Amino acid sequence: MAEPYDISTTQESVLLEKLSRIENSPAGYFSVHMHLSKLRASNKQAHFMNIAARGFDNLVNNADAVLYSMMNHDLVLLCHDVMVDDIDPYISKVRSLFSEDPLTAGGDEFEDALCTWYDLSNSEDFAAFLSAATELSVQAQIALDELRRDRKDDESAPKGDPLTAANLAVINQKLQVTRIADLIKQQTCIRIKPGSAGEVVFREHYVAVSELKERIATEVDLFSSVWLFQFLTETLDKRILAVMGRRSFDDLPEPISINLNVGTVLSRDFAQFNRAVGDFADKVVIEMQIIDIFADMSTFGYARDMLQERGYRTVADGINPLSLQFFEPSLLRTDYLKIAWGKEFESDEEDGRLKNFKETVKNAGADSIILSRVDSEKAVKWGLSLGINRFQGYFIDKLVQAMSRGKVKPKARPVKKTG
Amino acid sequence: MATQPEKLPPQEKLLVDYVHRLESHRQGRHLVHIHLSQLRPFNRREQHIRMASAGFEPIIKAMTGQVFLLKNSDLFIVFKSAARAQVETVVQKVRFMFSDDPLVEEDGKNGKVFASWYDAETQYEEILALVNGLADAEEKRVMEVRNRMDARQRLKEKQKKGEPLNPAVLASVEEALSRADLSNLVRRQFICRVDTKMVPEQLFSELYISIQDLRETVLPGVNLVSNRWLFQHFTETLDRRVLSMLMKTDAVSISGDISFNVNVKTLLSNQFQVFDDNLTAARRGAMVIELQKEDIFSDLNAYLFAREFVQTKGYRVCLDGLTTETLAIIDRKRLGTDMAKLVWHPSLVDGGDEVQSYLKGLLDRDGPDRWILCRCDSREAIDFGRTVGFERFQGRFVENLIAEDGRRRELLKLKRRIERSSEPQFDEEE
Repeated sequence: MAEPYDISTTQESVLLEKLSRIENSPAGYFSVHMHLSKLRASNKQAHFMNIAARGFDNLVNNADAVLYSMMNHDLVLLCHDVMVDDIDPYISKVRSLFSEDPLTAGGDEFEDALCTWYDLSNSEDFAAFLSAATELSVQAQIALDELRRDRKDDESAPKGDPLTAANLAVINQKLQVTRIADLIKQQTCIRIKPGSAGEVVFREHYVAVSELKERIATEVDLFSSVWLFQFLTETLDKRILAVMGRRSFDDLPEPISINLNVGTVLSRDFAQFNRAVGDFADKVVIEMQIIDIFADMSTFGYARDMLQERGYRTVADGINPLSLQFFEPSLLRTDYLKIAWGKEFESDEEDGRLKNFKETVKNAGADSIILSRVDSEKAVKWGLSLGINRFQGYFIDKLVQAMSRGKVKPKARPVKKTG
Repeated sequence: MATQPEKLPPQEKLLVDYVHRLESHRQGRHLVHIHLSQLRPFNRREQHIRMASAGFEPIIKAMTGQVFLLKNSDLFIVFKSAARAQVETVVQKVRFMFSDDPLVEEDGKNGKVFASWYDAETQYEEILALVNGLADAEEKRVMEVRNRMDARQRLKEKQKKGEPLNPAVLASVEEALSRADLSNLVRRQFICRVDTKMVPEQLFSELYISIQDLRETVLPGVNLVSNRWLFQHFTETLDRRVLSMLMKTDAVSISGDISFNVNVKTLLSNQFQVFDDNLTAARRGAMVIELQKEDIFSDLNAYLFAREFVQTKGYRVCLDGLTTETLAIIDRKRLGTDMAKLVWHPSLVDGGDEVQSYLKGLLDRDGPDRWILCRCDSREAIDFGRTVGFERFQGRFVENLIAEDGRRRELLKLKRRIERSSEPQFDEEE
């Protein structure tokens, strides 16, 4: 790619130039501004944008039409003497590509949230579009400035090289010997009962991957391959089990939870951990990820049953508003389902996602739902209104802090005599 | 490994022995099976189950009944007629304990039953089959778990299938793969409609790279599938090779509709764009893209985008790798794929009426053209498939049917030729 720091070469500038050329004879011209910049971040990936833009190839090649790709991911289509009906299929293709994004469903009776149409032969529309195009150009200038500044500040790309089989070997080796005990963080899951103080359900222990990366793979983007990252978590599991297994479980004041791969649960490392836990399995909660569960459901079934029989509690983790639309997690028969709170839940009552969520709450029972990623009081209230009372997330962390600051922590239990 | 807890007296076995002894004095004996295994996990905690089981203590003390608590939390009570009222009362109490559980709330609906009652005098065979089945299932489960955790088993696997894959080996495999000629490793298997006479009709064929052969050619002694994550990554590399190969052969020399497996990530790559650019619209319509469920769920956003993208281009999408366990959890219709493949396994038959009626319902809803029963390696698979409504099949057994059908056609041709030559040949006499 050419170094795109010169504003005069951007598509935004080219568009403005074109507009100035047609300003005096705009008959037959119209434009469609597609606001893809308003998509959710997860939908704004570069390869999504390329595919969306390429959807117009046919039109651009066969009609008097030009597509401009803006730096903020918006697309602008400028057409001359083309039938609107001929454009519609292309727009609806884009709409269907992002059919899960609130943007494509949004809008009101006056305006569509995805696109704005301008009849450029109409001087009012022309002025409105010109101002929109100018705004895009200003944004592009700002973005370019930022890009240039970032480049100066940090020569290396922010994320680093992709994770490959070749560098994975080295990273995995490092992970086996690096000290991780001091990287283990905690996040508390609490149960909120209306009218009384929160009660700790468990404290999740996890390794902060960003800090781990600093220690074992500064140059590599660990998330660039889902599968290879997942492989690393298998090694991480063993390390965490070794650290956690050194705890004494009889005087553990509150239950703990750890994330494990299904394979790890059936490994020797876990058998060893199990011996350390002894009779206190009820103080340990094991979380397993959906992606891992789906990869081998029958092994997951064994692992879950084995854990439950020994008295451990289990969590299916990694469920979000989107995934709820596509499978029924209550059938996984874990003790808890951890469902990430998302803005999607806030929207109107008629939304399908909310319906699916309520369905899951009903099937699994409100007592087995943990609402995670809770970042506001609003989310808690929303959960409570559906009968959910177990929560986890940044907002809960603050609550927990306030709880422990506000009152003296209750002493767990008298010290047990040993020996 | 020390696994003391498993050495506890297995209640399953005791129950089987007890039922066997019951045979000679069935009269006036009854059995109630309380399906506590169907409770929500939350309610299935040990103390709840113990409490439920303790309710029957007085009956045991009075020597009018016997209680068995199985590993899956189900309770079995065998009792004399005289104790019937008492047992019924306790069962009611247990029901009450779990009154907020869907099992109790929906008792009798959706195939959910809280308690099943049997009369030993008239239903002895039924009871015997039930407890034998439960005991078998438990034994099988313990064996399998042990196998999975067993070092001996791992060693055996290693000796049979090769060194487990590790990152360093994977790196060298990928390196070797970039140079290897894979065209002679491409295999083809047909998806067929199979009629009642077991005559196959070829609908389309799946193209795939034989992992077994690949292993032997590219890296002998390495078990490529031993780590699912590394293998999944490996398939992404393989995808790119398959795509470029499909492009080279122009996919024209391959007759008929074809299907192939790719990762979602590959569909969104430039490589796929290039592949797609080289196809005519008609050819796209003749292609089925197969996606694995774990790949789909690893990034649903990307999947939804990619599915929409390829479907509007005219490709069909097939959800691959559904199993007995995932069937009820993952819904083809919700995922919006055109087709789905269910992997044949004898456990589908073991699943009994519940699995069968579920499958029937699915096939009824979707129509038989959307479903394929794959990895059919026996006639049993086809027979089972047909009873629940499958019409499309794939697998080794189907390949055999095709070969057989080919032979039969050859024979028929031969027979016709012989018949023709033995007919009186007037023409030549003239």
